[in-house]
Amino acid sequence: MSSPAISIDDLAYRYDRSEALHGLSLTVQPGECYGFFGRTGAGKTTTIKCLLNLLRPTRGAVRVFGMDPARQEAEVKARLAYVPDFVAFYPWMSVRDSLDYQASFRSHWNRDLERSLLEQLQLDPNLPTTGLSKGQRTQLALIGAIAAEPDLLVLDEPTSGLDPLVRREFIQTIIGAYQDAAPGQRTVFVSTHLITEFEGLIDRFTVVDQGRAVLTATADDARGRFRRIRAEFEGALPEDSEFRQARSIRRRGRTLELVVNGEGESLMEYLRTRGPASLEIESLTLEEIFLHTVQPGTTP
Amino acid sequence: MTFRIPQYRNGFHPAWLLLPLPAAVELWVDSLEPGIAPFDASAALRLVVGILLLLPLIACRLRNVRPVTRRVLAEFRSQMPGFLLTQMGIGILGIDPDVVSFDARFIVLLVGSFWMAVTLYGAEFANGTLASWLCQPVRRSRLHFEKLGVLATLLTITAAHWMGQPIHVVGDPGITNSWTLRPSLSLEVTAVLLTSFCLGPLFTLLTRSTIAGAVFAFTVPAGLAVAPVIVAGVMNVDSDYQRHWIAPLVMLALSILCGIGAIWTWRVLRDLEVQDSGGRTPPAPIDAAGTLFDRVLVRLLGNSSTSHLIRKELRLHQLARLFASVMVGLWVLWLGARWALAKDGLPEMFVPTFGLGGFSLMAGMFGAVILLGAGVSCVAEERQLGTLG
Repeated sequence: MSSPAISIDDLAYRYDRSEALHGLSLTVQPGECYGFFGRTGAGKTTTIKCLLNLLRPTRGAVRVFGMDPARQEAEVKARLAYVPDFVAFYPWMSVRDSLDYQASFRSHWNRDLERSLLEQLQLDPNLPTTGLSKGQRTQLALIGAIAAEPDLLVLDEPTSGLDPLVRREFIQTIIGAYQDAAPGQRTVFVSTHLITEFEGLIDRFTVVDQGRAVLTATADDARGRFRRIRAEFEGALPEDSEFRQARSIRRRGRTLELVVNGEGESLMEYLRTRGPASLEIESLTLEEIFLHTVQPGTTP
Repeated sequence: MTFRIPQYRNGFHPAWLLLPLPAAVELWVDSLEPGIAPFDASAALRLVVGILLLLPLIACRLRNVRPVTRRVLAEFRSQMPGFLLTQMGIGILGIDPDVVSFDARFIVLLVGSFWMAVTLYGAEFANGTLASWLCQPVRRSRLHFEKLGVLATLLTITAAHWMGQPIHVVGDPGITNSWTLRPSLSLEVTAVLLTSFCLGPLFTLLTRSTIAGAVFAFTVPAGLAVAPVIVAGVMNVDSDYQRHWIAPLVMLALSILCGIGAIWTWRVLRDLEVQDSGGRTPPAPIDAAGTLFDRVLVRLLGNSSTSHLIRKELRLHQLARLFASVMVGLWVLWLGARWALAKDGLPEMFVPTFGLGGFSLMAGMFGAVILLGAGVSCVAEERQLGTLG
């Protein structure tokens, strides 16, 4: 059996004054599109930097394709590409120079893919990098990452700064096509706030809060467990105390909305006994699941 | 292999093409003077050197080269402003080879070599490219040695250019262009280049700032060079035999410092962490000192909006403050040494003598450098913080 693309065990990292990660563990299998969700300051970027040997963990173990990034730095980085949240280029380089420079570090670089991505994202190769907008800089970094055709693509807030059209095009078309080109082999590890945008791509995810993993699940399993029940009553609504297992309860006139985690069927049966005028159940989106996980009682 | 047409952007400026101009002008002026040979071999040689100096610049425009060459050329390219300005300075000051331009040319060599050395890693911090540079699939040792190789090449070219300039000592015009002074000068030039090569990258990596790196890279070896003189003065060393040991001791100490610096640079880079986004300046000892200073100011000024504004400005100027403190410290040390040594009646060679002109020059230079440093670091930090607008 092949090694996990990413294996993090009991990871801890301490900055000068605060502990950013407290025993974080997760495993990403090859071929997955793995979401890494968390609030600002939750420890997402710190985790990614530990993967890249840009930070040395205080405790715990990090492996990328079974290799230790601290000991086998070049081998690990040869198999991955990273797009940071803060994208910067040498100011004296053009788009063309910058891509050539990145390609000079790689043993493999797909020039055709690079060309087609430049055309697709309408990025002029002759533009100086100093003249690029924030979104264009992100696009350039993404092209540089994808043209290398790595086994693992590590994206830290990759779509921040992109306009909605480009964002959709990038996520659905480019990342999707990148994975589809070698099914089961190319892994994407994405840290993002824009969870909705990645909804259709994420296979599995971890929600991290205050440096700890608070939820790890496959996207389908999470959608099956986290559900919203909407019941409309003609008479008085039931008391909150009757739904202790619900993660959140919301009342809108004669409508009662409950969000549950794995208790959907039993609550549905109970509600049916109360004779509602209408009763429906639906899965939450990943963004709603994230919000309910880090802040129970949230109403998106 | 194809050439790209030079353009204004990406740091290239047609002014760099003026590098061979000083020597060309000298040749032309000489040719107009009656009674002077129309062909000056020295100027002609410098003209050729000036043209050759354009080669790294042209090389940077090469495309379709091997990946390693591309990376090396990119490093050359990032060093071009410092390199070319240094060459231009050396070339222009070589037109009239009197003692003033000789000293000025030595200052150009000093400033230029330290500039190139501190921007080697300083550019990565300043451009915010440190994280992406360290994420490239190449061992850090290789990244490091590629950079050092480029720096060594540029410093060697600079030294060769500098040594190739005419030397004219006041009071003895006969030794203009004489090669007799070259051996002793080459020792001084080597000391400057080796110190900048070994300590410039080290202090930039330690302080994570180009300006602070330059301050420490210059003042630490300068302090080391001055210390034995002071110690000798304090200990009343007055025999020639004992005093003649000072220069070799300084050279030995500098060599050891450079050796330690070179090894330490690699160890710092090997263990370097990128703690904040994009590799921008993380907490460093300077920031820690700034925080302490800030707390004292809060106690003194309170928490009003004016206090916040004053504290912000002072915090942004912390590198300039540091620079000023080091300069004042060195100045006091220098004056103390002069007083101690003059009192003991030591020969002039060991007594730093400054007349009013020299004092004004030094004070003016310090003042200008500090003001310039304050302005530059303030704007740079505002830009880095994204608060300039």
